[in-house]
Amino acid sequence: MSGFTIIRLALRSLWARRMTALLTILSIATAVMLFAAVESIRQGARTSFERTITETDLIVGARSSPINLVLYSVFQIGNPTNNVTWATYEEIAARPDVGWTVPISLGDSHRGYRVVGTTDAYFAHYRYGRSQEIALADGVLFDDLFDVVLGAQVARELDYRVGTTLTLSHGLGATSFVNHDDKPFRVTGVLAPTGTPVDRSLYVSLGAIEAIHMGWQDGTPTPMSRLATPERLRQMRLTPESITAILVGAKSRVQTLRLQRDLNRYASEPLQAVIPGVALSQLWNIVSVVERALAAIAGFVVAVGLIGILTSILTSLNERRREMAILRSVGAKGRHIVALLVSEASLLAMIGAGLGIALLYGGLALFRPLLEARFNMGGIARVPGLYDLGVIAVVTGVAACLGLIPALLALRRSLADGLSVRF
Amino acid sequence: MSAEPVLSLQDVTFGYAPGDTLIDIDRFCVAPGESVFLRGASGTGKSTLLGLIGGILVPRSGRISLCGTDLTTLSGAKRDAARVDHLGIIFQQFNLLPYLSVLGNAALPCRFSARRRRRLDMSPDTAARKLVTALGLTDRELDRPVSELSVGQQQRVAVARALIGGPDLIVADEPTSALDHDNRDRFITLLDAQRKRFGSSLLFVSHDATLAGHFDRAVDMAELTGPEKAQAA
Repeated sequence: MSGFTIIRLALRSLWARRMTALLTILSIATAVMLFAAVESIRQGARTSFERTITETDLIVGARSSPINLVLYSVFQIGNPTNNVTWATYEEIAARPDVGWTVPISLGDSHRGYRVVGTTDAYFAHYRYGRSQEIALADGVLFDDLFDVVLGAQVARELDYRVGTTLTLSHGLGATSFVNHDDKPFRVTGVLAPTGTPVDRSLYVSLGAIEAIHMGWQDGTPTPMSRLATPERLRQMRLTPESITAILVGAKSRVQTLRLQRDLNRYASEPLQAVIPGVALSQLWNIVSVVERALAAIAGFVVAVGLIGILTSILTSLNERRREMAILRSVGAKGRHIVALLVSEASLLAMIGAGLGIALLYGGLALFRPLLEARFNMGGIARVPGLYDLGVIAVVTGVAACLGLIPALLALRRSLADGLSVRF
Repeated sequence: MSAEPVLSLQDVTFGYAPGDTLIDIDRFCVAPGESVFLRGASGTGKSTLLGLIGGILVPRSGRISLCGTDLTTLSGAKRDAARVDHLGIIFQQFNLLPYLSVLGNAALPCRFSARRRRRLDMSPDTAARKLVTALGLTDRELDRPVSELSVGQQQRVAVARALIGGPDLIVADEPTSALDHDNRDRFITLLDAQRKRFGSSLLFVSHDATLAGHFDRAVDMAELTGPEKAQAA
């Protein structure tokens, strides 16, 4: 009696009870799909998170905490503590080991979305995901002082398109009492979705940030500001006194650490330089509690599914006493009875887990365009990997162990029943 | 008896609980080729005796031999092997696994016993087909799910399963209790004719004393074991 024959018997027996077997398989499939999905999306989310900004070697800002700097300069969360002077910016940009710099000026918003004052260099050097560039979905980049470029989500949620005019608000809150409504902006371009905070930002030139604050003092307009009409401002050379942060690309990667050290010890003003990747993974570790909670919940779902297998086999045992007695009568040994029920449990689990993984990757393939565009989840795996095979193996293994319970019960009963077929 | 008995029990006692003796048999033998009718009302330990002969149960004391092999000295797995090698078993009814075909059911012992397989000079499926055809099933019935066969047809498949590979002893436990009178006689005649072809002995257990005439010898369970055996001896 080979193991193969036992598995064939188990398959036949399952087929004869295919309705219940199918339901059990479906419950395991759903559980495993959920479990693997949590893991897959967790991995995808982590990769996408850590690839929110790539190829920028350092982010430089006023001294606070590295995470804070990354939060306000990249994620548009929280407030900058202090600014960096324009003189310092120019000095850094001129360093021989610096390849490129992008100035960022924050502090204004539009209906809760933050406005980033920057230069064309931002669009030239900002990279996310696998070195993807920011692309325009519609229109052109800002050219005039009062031009604005919208992130994809801003345009979608507020239903703006090229040509729409809007006004900015002072401050970063969703509602502001101080508005720049005397200086309306015109949308010249809408960016393609990236799945990063870029989608939630509005981009104007550095000069525009200067222009709308012309004649302001300490965050409030003075009567002087009325003199600064758009026409006049267009004639002026608007150079900011200070900016919020700088994105820096080193000439060569190996110089990054030295450059970081130099900037952190900057003599004329207190600066900090942060390697985005390092700060991002520190940041991720803070949110990983949630991720672990999710994984734990998914684990429990799988456990429930496995208990479902156990239940379905245990309930089937009573009506299968006859089957066991017949098998015993034709020479099935005790271990054959055990093997039959253990392989039945394992088969249910294996088929269920396999189906769950297949459903997951089918679903991911179906929703991939959406995941990539909205959540920058290009990093999500396309085909089942070792981890998924591991999940199938572990689920099958645990089911086999659980299958021992009904198996030993059936063995004991078959000994008590002997060779008589009872009801 | 000249040849070694196919089945022999000597001084066998058995009880499920300590102090309670259900089976107490001094001596019981089945000779090669012999057919024995064992009559007993329910509750007299027929099924228990069957469990002992089949090697599922182990006697408290005494010897049970199948074709010269002492079952009581064997391990559980070896007793399981001895059962399928030497015995063909037919139950009252519902003898078949619902998820196997007619031939799959009939060939089942060959999957567990190399000895039964070796005794065939053809594939188990061919042997099973020959047997069920000889037992009167048509090709059309062979292809139907076993659950759609009548009780009489199912019992004939069970006979084919018991006979395949020519075991030394056929044990039938009330195989006719679900059949009507005509079918019962026809079934016993068929069973007896087929088992003779294979040279198998037959131990037929039933509560119905009217069947005793079909067999070489009849034994009463009450005379074999229990309080009445002293008078019978």
